[in-house]
Amino acid sequence: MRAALLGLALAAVGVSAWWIQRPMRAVHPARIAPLFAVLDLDGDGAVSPAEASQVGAPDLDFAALDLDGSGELSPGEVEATVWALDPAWWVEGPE
Amino acid sequence: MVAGPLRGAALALVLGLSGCAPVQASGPLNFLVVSIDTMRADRLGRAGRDGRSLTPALDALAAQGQRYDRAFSQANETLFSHTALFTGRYPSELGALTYETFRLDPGVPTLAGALKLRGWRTEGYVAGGHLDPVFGLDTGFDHYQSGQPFSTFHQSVPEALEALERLAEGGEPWMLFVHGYDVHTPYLKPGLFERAETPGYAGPLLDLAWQPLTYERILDGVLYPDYRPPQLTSADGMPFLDPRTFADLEDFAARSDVRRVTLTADDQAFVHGTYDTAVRQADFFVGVLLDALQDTGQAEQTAVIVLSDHGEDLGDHGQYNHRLALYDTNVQVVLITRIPGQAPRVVSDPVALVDVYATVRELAGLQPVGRGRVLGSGGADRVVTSESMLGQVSARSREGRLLVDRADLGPQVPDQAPEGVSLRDDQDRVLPWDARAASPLWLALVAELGP
Repeated sequence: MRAALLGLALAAVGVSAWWIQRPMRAVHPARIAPLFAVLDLDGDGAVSPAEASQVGAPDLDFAALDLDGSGELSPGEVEATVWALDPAWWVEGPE
Repeated sequence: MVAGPLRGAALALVLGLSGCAPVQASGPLNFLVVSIDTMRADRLGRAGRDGRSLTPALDALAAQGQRYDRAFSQANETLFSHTALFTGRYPSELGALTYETFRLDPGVPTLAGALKLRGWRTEGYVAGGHLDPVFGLDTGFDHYQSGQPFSTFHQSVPEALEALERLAEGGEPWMLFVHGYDVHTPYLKPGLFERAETPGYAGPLLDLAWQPLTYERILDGVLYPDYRPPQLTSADGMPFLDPRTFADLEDFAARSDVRRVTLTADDQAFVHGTYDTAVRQADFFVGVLLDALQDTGQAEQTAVIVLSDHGEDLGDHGQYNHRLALYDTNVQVVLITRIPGQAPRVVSDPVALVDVYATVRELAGLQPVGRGRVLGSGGADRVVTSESMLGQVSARSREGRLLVDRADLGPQVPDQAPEGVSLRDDQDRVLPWDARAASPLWLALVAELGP
C-alpha cells in the first residue's frame, strides 16, 4: 500500500513537472508561425538565447520571456511577447 | 432597418450569381473594415529576410477576395485620408487641411451614420492620434473606442475581438472599424523583434531609435540628432508634428554647425527592417481578427475590407515620413476586399480609397453617393486625385501622374511646367513636360480639386 501511494506521489510529481515544463502553447499557432520562423534562425522549432541575442534587443531579458523556464522560447512564448507589447512605449512627444 | 439590408442581400446574391463565387450571404452583410496606418502598398506580399512573405494573412485574404493593385488614398496623412474614407468626400471640401482647426462637422453624413440609421450596429476601435474623437471622425458610430495616442493593434484588436464575440450574439448587422499605428514611425518594436530583419545589427540606431522622432530627423541618409521638429497644437490642445517639419529639416541640414550621423547601408537596412517587422506584426493581428470572424460564424455574412490610409517614403525621396509630397510611396495604399458572393480577382485599374464609401453603401442597399465609384464597376479611364496639407494636389491614371501645387491650378494647361509641377509615368518617374500628355490629368484636377 505504501509502495503504491509512493508510486502515485512520484507520478503526480512527474506529471506536475511535465506540466510546468511543457512548451507554452500558442493561442494562434497558425498566425504566430511566420513571426516565430523569423526568430528561429536555425529552424529547430525553438528560439534559443543565442538566437534571441541576435534578433532581439542587445539588453533583452531572455529569462523574463522564458515563461516556462525551459531555457528556450516556444511559439506560445513568442506570441505572448507580441501581445504584451506596451502600445504606448514610444509615445513621449507628438507624432 | 428593412429596406437597406434587404436590398443589400439581394445585391450580394446578384453579385454572387454574376461572379460565380461559392459563398452567398443570406440577409444584410456585416462590414469589417481594418486600417493599417502607414503601410506601403509594396509591402503586400513582399519577401522578408527569411524569403517568406511579410504578409501571409493579407496574402491569403487577397487570394480569397479582390486585390486592388493601384489603389490611392485621397490624402497623404491619417486624419484627412480617413475623412475621405468615412465621408466619401474630398477632405478639402470639409474644412481647411490643418490639425489646428479641422473638425468634421457633425452634420456631414458618414458611412457609420448611414448604416446606423438603417439598423446596423456601428463600432470603431482606433489607436488615437489623428483618429481621436477631437477631430469628429467618431460621427455616426454607436461606440467609438480611441486608444492611447498613436497606439497599435496590440490595444485595438483585443477590444475588437471582444466586440466580434458580442456582435455575433446580437442578431443585428454591424460595421466594425479597427485601426492601428503599428507600421507608423518609429517602426521599431522593442524587445524580441528589434533586430528580426537584421540579426546582429550593432549600429548607432540601436540606441537612437528609442528616442522620439529619430526617424523624422533623417534626411538623405544623414541623421541630425539635434534637430527639433516644430509642433502644432490641435483645437483641443493635442500636440502634433508640424507637416512643414520636412521642409524645415532641409533648411536645418543646410547649416554647417550641426551634428550629423551619416547612416551606413547597415543602418538604413535596420530602419527598413524595423518597418518590415512592424508590417509582419500588423499582419499577425489582422490574421487573428479574420480567424475570430470565422470562429464566431460570421465570415460568410461579412464583407471584409483591409486598407492602409497612406504609405511611407522610407527614404526613397530622402525622408522617413509620408507628408512631404504626394509621391506614390506616400499615397499608393493597400486595398483588399473579400465580399461574399464576389469571385477572387486582381484589379489593376486605378481606384481610390474614397471608393470604399460608395462600395459599402451599395452593398448595404444604399445609393452609392459621394466622390467615389463602386469598386469593381470598371474604370480604365479613372483619374484618382489626392491632396496634402502643404497645398499640393495630384492626379493618377493608368498612364501617369501629375503633381501640382494647388495654387498653380488654372483652366489652361500650361505650355511650360511651373516650378514644382511634375509629370510622371506610371512608375512615378519624372517625365519631360508635355502639355498634351498632362492635359487629362490637369483637367481632372481642376474639375475635382480646383479653386
